[in-house]
Amino acid sequence: MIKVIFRGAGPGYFCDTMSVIILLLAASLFVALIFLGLFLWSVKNKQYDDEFSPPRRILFDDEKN
Amino acid sequence: MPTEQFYYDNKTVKRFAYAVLFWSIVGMLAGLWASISLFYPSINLGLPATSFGRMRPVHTNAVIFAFVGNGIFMGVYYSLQRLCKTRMYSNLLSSLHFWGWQLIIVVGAVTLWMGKTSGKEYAELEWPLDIAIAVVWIIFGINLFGTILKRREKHIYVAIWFYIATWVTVAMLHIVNSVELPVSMWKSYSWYAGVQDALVQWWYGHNAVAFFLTTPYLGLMYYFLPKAANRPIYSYRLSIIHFWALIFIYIWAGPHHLLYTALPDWAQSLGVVFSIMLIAPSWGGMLNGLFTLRGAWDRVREDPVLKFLVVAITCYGMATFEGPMLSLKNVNAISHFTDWTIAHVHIGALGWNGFLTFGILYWLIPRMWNTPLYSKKLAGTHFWIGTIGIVLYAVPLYWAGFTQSMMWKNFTEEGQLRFQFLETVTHILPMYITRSIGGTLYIIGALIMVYNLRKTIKQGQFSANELAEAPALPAVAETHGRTYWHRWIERRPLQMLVFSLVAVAIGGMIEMIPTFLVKSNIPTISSVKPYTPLELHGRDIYVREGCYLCHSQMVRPFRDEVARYGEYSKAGEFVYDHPFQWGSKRTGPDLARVGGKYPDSWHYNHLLDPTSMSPGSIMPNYGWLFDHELDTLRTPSMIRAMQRLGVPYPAGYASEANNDLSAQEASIRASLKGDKISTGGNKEIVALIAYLQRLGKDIKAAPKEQTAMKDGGALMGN
Repeated sequence: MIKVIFRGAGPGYFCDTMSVIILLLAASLFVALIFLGLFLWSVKNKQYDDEFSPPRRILFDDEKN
Repeated sequence: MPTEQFYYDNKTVKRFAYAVLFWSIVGMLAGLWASISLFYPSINLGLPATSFGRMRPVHTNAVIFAFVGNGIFMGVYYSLQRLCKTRMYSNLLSSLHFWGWQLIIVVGAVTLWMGKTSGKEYAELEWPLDIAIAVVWIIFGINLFGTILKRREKHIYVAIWFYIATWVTVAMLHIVNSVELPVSMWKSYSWYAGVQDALVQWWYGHNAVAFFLTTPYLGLMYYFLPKAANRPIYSYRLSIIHFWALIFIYIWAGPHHLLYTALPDWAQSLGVVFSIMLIAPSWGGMLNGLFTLRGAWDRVREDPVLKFLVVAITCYGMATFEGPMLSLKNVNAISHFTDWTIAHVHIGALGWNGFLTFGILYWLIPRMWNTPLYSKKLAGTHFWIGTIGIVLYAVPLYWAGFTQSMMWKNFTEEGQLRFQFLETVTHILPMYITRSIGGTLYIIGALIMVYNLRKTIKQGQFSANELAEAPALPAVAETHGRTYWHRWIERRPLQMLVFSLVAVAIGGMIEMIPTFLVKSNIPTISSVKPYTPLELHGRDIYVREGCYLCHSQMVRPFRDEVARYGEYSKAGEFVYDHPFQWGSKRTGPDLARVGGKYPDSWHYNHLLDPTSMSPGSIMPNYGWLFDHELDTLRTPSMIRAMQRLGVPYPAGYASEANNDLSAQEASIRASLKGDKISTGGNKEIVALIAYLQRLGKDIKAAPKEQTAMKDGGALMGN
C-alpha cells in the first residue's frame, strides 16, 4: 500500500543512532567553557580573596527611610 | 567617598509576587484536578481539555514556569538590586519581562488545553511560544547583566553567580531542545527522532530541574536565608566551592532518565556516575543552609519564615539524596515508570520550591509594605497544614510506586505473570486518593497564605521606589579603561538588546549546524518503515491527547516486561518517531507492542468506554474522537515536513498521500463493520486505531537473526 524508498541498514549503527550526542557534548562543553572562563575571571578579579565581609555585608540595609 | 542616592524598584517585585500568588493556586488546582482524574476519570466531564492527558501538562507547566518561574523573578529582582546596590538596569525591560512572561503563561495554558503540544515533557509549548520564551529570556538576561555591570559593589555575591548560571544554561537548553520543524501555526515536529530525541529531551528535562528549579532557588536561599535569620551564611567558602562543583557536574547527569532503554549502555553509565557525584555539591548547599541556623534554632520555633526555609532546605537535601539513588540502575529498575518518581519530584516541588517561595513571600511582603505580617499564627497554620500535606502526598505515592513495581515483577510458580496490569492499578487507587487529600491540604495552606498576605498588604503602605544610598564604585582607572565599551553600551538598552540578539543568534546557529549534520534516519532494522499518512494523523492525535503521559512505548529488557509486552525495544525501531513517545510513567500498560494484539473493534470500544473492555479501568472516555473529523487537508504538509526531517517517503508522495489514507481508512472501517460497528467517514478514531495497530509491528516482520545481531544480544521472550 505504501510506496517507500528505503535504504538498507547503514554501516556504523552506533554512530548513526547516537550522533546527536555530539551536539549535546558540544553544547554542554560550550556552556562548561563559559563557566570556566567566568570562574577564572572571578578568581583573577579577586572575588574570593575576602571570604569574611561579603556574607556579612548583605545583612546591612542601605535603605534610607 | 561620596555616596550616591538611588531608588530600588519594588514595583516589579510586587508584580512578580502577585503573579506567584495567582499562579501557585492555578497550578496546584490543575494538579489536584489531574490527580483526582486518576481515580475518578469522569471528572473530565467528557471534555478533551479537562482530561488527564491535557491537564497534566497544564499542571506541570503552570507550576514550573508560572509559579516557580515568577518566584525566581520575584526573588532575583528584589535581591539583585540590593546585592548590586543599584536599581534594575531598565524599567522598560523589567516591564517587558513581566508582561511577556505572563502572556506566554496564559497563551501556553490555553494552547495546552486545546491540545497544541509538541509532545515532549516539560517542553510541551509549541514553536511560536518557544520563540517568545527565548525573546523574554533574552530581555531578562539583558536586565540581569545590565544590572550586574552597573553595580556599586565590586564583589559579586554568591547568589548572583547562581542567577548567572541559571540564565546561561536555561538559554542553551531551551534552544537545543526546541529545534523543531513547524508544520502549521500551532504544530511542529521535533527535529530529532527516536533515541536521539529521547536523549536531547532528557538532557533538557534533567537540566531544567537543575537550572530552573535548583540553581536559581539556591541563589534565593543564599540571599533570603541569611536575611531572614539575620546572620551570615555558615561558610562562604563552601558556597563558592559547591556552586562551581554543582554547575560543572549537573549537566552530564541527564541520561539517568533513560536507564535500561534503547540508549547505549555507556551513555547510561555516564549519567549514573555523574548523578552519584552530584550528592556532594548538593549536600554542600543543604548543609550550608542548615548550619547557618546553628545557634538560632530557638528562633525557628517562633519565626514562620525560618520554619518554611528549614523544611524547604531539608526537602532539598532529601530529594538530592534520593535522586542519585534513583539513578542507580538496580533501584531505577524498580522505581522507573511508577509513582515513586512522582513522589520524588513532589518532595522537590512542594517542599523545596514551594516552601522556599512561601518563606520568601512571608518575609518580603511585610518588608515592602512596611508593616508586620498580619498574622503569624495563620502563617504557622499554613506551615503545619502544608507540611502534613507534603507527607500525605508523598508517602502514599512511595508506597504505591514500590507496591505496583513489585506486582508487575511478580511471577507464579508456573512462571506466569501473577497480576494483570489493571489489577496493579486498582490495587493502588486508595493511595491515589490519599495523595489527593495531601494535595488538597497543601492548597488549603496556600489559600491561607494568600488571605494572610492580602490582609498584610491592606494594612501596609507600599513604597514602589525605595530610596537607598551607596558609594559609587571606584573609577574606571583600576580596570585600565577596558570597561569602556560596556560602559558605553550599558547606557543604551536598545543597542544592547540588538547586540544581544545578534550574539544569541550566532550562538544559536553554531548550535544548530551540527543538527543538520546528524544522520538520524538510516534505518538500522530494515523492516522498520515510515508511518502511513493515516497512522501519522493517528500519531498526532496520540500526542495531542497526551497519551504518552500514561502509556510508555519502551519495553525494558526485563523478564516481566518481555513476558507482559513482548520483545524489548531496540533503538532502530524509533528512527521515524518525531517526536519520540517513550513516556516516563506507566499509569496504563506499555504500548510499544500493542499493534495487532487486539482487533480494531476492541480499540474502538475501549476508546469509547474503556471500562467496557477493561472493567475498573481509570482511563477516561475519548468520545470526541468519534465526532471530530480528520483534517486531511493537512496531510501533504505533514508528509513534506517528515520528508524534510529525512523520513524516506518517495518524492512527490505528499500529493498522493491522501489516496493511501482513504484506502487504509476504508479497510479499517470494513474491519469494524465485520464486528458490527459502523462509523462515519474520516473520523479521528479510525486514524488513532491505525496508529495503535501499527505500534511494534514492524519488528515482528523482521527476520529474527537480523534484529538479534543488530542489538548485539540474544533475543528474549516470545
